[in-house]
Amino acid sequence: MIKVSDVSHHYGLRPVLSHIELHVPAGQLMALMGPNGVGKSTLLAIIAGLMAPAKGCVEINGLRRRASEEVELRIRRQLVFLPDHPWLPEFMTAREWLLAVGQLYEVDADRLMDHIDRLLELFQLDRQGDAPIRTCSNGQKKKVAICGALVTEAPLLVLDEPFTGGLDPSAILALRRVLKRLAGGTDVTIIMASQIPEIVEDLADQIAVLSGTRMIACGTLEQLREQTGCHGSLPEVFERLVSPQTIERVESYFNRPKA
Amino acid sequence: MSFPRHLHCQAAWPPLWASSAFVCIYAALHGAVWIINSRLPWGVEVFAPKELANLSASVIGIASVLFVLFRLFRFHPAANRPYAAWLQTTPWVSRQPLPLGPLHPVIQDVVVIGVLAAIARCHAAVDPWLPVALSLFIYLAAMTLLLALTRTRGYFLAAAFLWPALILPQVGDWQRTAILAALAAVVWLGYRSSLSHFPWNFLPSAKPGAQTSVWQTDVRFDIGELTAIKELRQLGWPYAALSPRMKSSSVSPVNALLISLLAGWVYFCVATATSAPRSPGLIIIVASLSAFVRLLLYAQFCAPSFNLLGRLSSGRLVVPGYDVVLVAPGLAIFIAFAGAWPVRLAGEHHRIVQAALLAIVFHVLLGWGPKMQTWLLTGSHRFRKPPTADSKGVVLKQV
Repeated sequence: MIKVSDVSHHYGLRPVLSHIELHVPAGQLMALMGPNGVGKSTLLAIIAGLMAPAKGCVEINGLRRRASEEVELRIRRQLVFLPDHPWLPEFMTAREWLLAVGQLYEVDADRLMDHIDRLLELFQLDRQGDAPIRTCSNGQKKKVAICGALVTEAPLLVLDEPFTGGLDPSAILALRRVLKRLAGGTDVTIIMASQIPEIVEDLADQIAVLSGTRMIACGTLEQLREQTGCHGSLPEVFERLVSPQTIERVESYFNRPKA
Repeated sequence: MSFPRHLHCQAAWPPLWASSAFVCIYAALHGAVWIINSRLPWGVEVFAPKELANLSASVIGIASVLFVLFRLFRFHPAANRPYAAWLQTTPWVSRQPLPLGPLHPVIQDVVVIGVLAAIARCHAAVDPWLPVALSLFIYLAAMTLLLALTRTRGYFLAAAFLWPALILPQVGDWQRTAILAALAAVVWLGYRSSLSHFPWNFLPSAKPGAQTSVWQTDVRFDIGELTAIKELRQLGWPYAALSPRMKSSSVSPVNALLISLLAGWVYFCVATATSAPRSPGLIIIVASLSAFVRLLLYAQFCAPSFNLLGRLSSGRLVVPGYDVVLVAPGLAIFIAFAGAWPVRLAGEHHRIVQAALLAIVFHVLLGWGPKMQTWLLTGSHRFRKPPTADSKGVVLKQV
């Protein structure tokens, strides 16, 4: 369970998040959506523990982040964060790095080796997995980073734009199915930022929409439809929520009389 | 003639190439000086006997230092890591003698240093005590450092308190000899104590089969050692910052007290020996530099969540969760400045007051919270992203 209470944050003079309230029950997948630069990555970094918010607090399974050393370490054992741009050690092979990450999260050694094999096969890295990471393409590096998050077997996944970064269609499909199975069939709780409405519509139990430092909507797709009075697809609902003038602007763009 | 086994070790002889090198260098030096002084046509003595004696003393001194270092680096498991790695695979226990040879002086050491002393006395016209004193000094100093390396803290601190006392002008010859004897005893007891804690797993690469191949190294990847955030950096971002096994070492209250007393004591001895003038400025400089180093250590991985403009705009000038790291360095600098007044009042006892000030400053910097572990896990900061390459050459690249 992830609970965000009254979180506000700002960089210098610019406010990024204002009074954000969020609750992701155990075993659910919540998608964060919103225009670029609205604070999705900042919110995920705060949830993941990379930064302390200027105001408010985050609770993970009832434990408050940074409350004490013991509590923070307990939270860290339960949660893994995949940033939008992870940094990987170039001279390790993917397999070695996954092994090290799994050990960091105290995954049983035999299970870990087996899990790594299955992950490398799933993301078609079985041949590239034993070569140094520096020889991987950008998409392959992103796959390795995703495998790193999955190999930890953490019950809470915080994923920032997991479907971007040059992933090929088969990897997108694989990740989509894996996340669906994890959130649906197990008690894994997932919060992810994504800009791809089709994927969010397919995967998310709840959708939170950020706009202009505030959270303007949070709930199931049906609840968002009710809130906006729009019974179309997620892109239409999203458009109504975030930028209701978009259609008018598009019309105006095309209908402007030629000089 | 046979010597007791523990006083005799054939392996303690210096290698033949090293002995030959010494003979060649010494002979070449004297031969060259003889040729320059007596066989070249300019007819004046280029090297005075005193200059030749100084050169000979340098060669003999360097030889005795190298011999002591050879003994330590060959026979001390903490200085000879392949030896430590091999020793770990054997059934050796600390109450047994070390299999390669002892670290205490044996008859071979006496012969080697004796030969150097004889050359100094009979041929080089140098004080024969030079190689003896120099080898004793190097032996005790290196053994003291090895106590620190093997984390034999109590004995190391005891030795560290004894060393500065040797330079005090009030100490006479007999007292100096007694201090040296005490130092030797402390170093020896500490060495035995350190052996009883072997293997020293905190020493890198002191493991059997280290670095045989890249693959083997990584299969043995021991996460237990990668607990400090600096070491975790090789796992990439953000695992280094968010590690569930983060464990950063900190100075215990007792160690903080002892180290700060040691700093004061060292200052007192050096200031007394050099007749340092009354100068609170030195304490201020030391306090400021030490405070800066402490701040750097705490801030190298963690930046404020929001900057000064953010503080001004939000009206939150003080962020207790972050500003707590500024308290100890600020207090240390304040104490150093405020200490100028009692130093002036202390008259001829100013060195005692300055030493006490330095001890207090160090105690504040070492002993005052937050502990590094507490700071990393609970501070109101944001973790900095890593640079593209760290000091160990492990390159991290953004995906």
